[in-house]
Amino acid sequence: MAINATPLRIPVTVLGGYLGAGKTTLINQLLSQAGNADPVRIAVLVNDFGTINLDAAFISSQSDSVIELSNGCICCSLADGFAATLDQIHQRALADPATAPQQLLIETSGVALPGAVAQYAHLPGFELASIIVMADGEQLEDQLADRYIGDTIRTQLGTADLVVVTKTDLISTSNLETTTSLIRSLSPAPIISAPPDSDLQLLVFGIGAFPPSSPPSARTSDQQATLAIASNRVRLVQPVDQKALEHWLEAAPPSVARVKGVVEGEKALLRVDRVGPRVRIQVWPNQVAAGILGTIEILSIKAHPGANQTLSQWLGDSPPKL
Amino acid sequence: MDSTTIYPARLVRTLWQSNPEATAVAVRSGRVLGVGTLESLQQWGPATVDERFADKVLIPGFVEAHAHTMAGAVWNFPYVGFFDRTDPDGKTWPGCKSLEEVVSRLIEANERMDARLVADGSEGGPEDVLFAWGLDPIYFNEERLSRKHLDLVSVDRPIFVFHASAHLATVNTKMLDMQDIGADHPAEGVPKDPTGFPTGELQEPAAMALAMPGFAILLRAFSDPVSAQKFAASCRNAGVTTVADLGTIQEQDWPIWEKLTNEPDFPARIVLAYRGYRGNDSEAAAKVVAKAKGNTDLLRFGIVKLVLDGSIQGYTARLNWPHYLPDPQDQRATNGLWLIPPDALTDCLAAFHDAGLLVHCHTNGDEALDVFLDAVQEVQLRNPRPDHRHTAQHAQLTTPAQFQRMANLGVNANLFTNHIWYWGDQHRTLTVGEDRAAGMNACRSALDAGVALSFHSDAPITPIGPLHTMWCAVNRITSSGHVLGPDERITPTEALQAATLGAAYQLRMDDEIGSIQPGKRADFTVLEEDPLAVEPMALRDIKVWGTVLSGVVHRAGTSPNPVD
Ligand SMILES: Nc1nc2c(ncn2[C@@H]2O[C@H](COP(=O)(O)OP(=O)(O)OP(=O)(O)O)[C@@H](O)[C@H]2O)c(=O)[nH]1
Ligand SMILES: [Mg+2]
Ligand SMILES: [Zn+2]
Ligand SMILES: [Zn+2]
Repeated sequence: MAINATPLRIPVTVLGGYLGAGKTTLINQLLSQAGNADPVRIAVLVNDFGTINLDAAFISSQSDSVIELSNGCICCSLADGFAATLDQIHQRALADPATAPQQLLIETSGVALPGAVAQYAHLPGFELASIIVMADGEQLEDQLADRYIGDTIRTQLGTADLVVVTKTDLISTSNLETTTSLIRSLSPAPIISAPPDSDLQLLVFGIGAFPPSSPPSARTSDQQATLAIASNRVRLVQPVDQKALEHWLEAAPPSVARVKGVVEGEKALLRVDRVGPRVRIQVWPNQVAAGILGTIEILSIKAHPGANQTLSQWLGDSPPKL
Repeated sequence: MDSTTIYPARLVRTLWQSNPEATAVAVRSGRVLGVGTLESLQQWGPATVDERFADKVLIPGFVEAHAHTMAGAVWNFPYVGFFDRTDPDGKTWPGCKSLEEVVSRLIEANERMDARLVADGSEGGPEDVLFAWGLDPIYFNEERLSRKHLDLVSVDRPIFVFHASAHLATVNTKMLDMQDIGADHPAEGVPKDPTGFPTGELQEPAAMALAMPGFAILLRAFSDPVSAQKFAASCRNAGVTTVADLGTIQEQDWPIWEKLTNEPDFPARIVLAYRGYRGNDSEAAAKVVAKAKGNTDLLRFGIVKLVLDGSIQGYTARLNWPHYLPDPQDQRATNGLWLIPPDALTDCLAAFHDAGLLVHCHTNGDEALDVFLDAVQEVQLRNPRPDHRHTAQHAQLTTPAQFQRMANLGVNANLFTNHIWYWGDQHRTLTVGEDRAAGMNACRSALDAGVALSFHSDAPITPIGPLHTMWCAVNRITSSGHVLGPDERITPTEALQAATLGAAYQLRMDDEIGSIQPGKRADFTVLEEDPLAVEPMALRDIKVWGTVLSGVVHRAGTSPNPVD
């Protein structure tokens, strides 16, 4: 995935989930990949630096509240709170757009409600991309039954745009099925279990990134085959009827993690987003390249548990011309 | 040899069981040399007799074991709350009883700001925000403050009104425009009026932070030395000689307090509790232990604050079944929020417990208290520490069985009796209902179970003022005049004990302060009346003349920091 230009508003991904669900593990994987073929400058906000697994050689500078990595990523401590920390990042981005983060990732505390944390993504300079909630595949059933934390975890899952089930290596297939059906009863979001390393960036940031200005990333069919996430594109017949478009988006099967694009509506260009179960259509005030206009990009989870409606059938139902 | 001063008084209530009443106290080197009569104290040799307290009542200096120093910072700004409130200069700001009164108070403040700009020959910029605090719209029938009211004050200067609940702010149209908060703003917590434009109310910190020029004033206020001076002056005016900031002052601001408390006429002893569960707790524990080695008379470290749940009036405290009363709008979760995962509390507590530190844990709801007591029991089994003095803060809904368990585990209760007056009516009607509200902040049950008791203001949540806090524990009257749980009332003697020795015990300072006894610090609160002789309903009306802090006399009064 190539993200080169710094967007006007930094997309914010909130990473929630109970204690030990695997949030930091995911962040560590992302940071170690961020310098690879498709470099992306990530800012990570965490409560506790100590748990981020940083190779000393990898650190280019360090203060009490910010660690800068040699691949352009930064880790920021949340000791001063969300508002002050985000404001500092915004001021830095304004002062030096060339090094500003392209993606911002917040690791919430295990009992925080990610939906509430996500509200900080509306501060100037930021935009809410998505809420990802991690679920501990081994513990979830017990946790949901727990007197103290069951309600908290239910609320967390209920606000997710994507649920990632971790520790699937520790459980049997039938236990995984029980866990995913539990999650499905609590959340309309797509569920992915144990994301493989290969497409982590696509999974975490791809579902948030906007606009879809970049051409489809060049991957060989071999690479495509190993991915857990499928990327499809459909061209809509334009101009589209907004109501019909909305109905179509709402009918997407649960395996669809992200739909994005800019299309011609009756009066204006429309920005089309579906993040997890959330559909949003807004007027798009900017220009868009001719090749991009009318193309809708869809990311879906290939092995989505219990997807009962096939993707191709839904893709075939795209809204008719106005 | 240091000189001796003898203060004759109308009455000295020592709270020292062996000599409970006296008519004179002798002070040497900042400590109590003896109590008795002017004659009996002659045993100590030549002394200066200082008659200034001859018609006053001396009690041990009040100890406030739970406040926040930002109670000083707010006085840099106009107050628009419902109840009368006295500022650190001794000026009483009458409560604003209607939205009209709020608006006119703000108009005055706006004019003062204009006058200041003219005097400075300055233009004013986006930083030139009219900030006000203390608004409690819950008391204004159904009408809420909106941007329209604030636009009557100014359309050119951004306005930010911070509510007493600390969860809300209201801003004017200028602030909304400046910050680009318009009709299509996506954030929750930005309610819209029927025309679709924001009402001006900003709910919860994430939305309040959208009005950054106003919100930043709050963030900066903590590290302002002037605010620190004002906080100490408020303590002195209320008769408080020792006060604990429970976890709001962070390391980077410690030097401010080191400098201020070293000034010879600083009027309060400050305990800075460290806020735990922010990263590596074992490292933090070692840091606090090291810091406490450098304690001075007026600045103390060694206490740790943990926050386990939210607040009852905000419906974020964790309650046991049957939880909160039903929400007519059905929009609220059935239970509150955890701020530390229950599973993580034991290890977190153990890090500080094992280092020998004393932990004060905010547990507003009874479910949170269960989790704290389980954690204390577990750390005690792993690493028994006699006399640990861990304390449950607020513990507002504690049941008799929990008090018994606290007594057995040696956990103290610092209850929030001011809630009875300020929010008692809401608790009866909106949060938990008449029966459980009657058992809130149950001082009688705590004492009967043998729990070491104190109570607090949590300033600036409610004003610092131990006489008021005692009054609440003794009378249990709500602001509408209802007696909330009369069977949980305690006697004035018990209340005085809780506000002095009781709080000192919870800070592990009862060997040093909390009673007037030879060898202890010469800390006195100087009152015009005897709190044990007035009508219980008159307790909170007793005038505070001032304090004596380690032998230095501080007059409650007009300038932020007068020294006698
Ligand atoms: N076997 C297995 N272990 C995992 C997996 N994901 C995470 N873990 C382990 O689970 C433990 C907790 O993972 P973290 O990533 O620290 O979890 P977290 O959500 O950041 O936890 P907190 O920050 O404490 O809330 C670590 O020991 C990880 O190595 C997984 O998929 N399989
Ligand atoms: Mg973590
Ligand atoms: Zn508290
Ligand atoms: Zn407090």
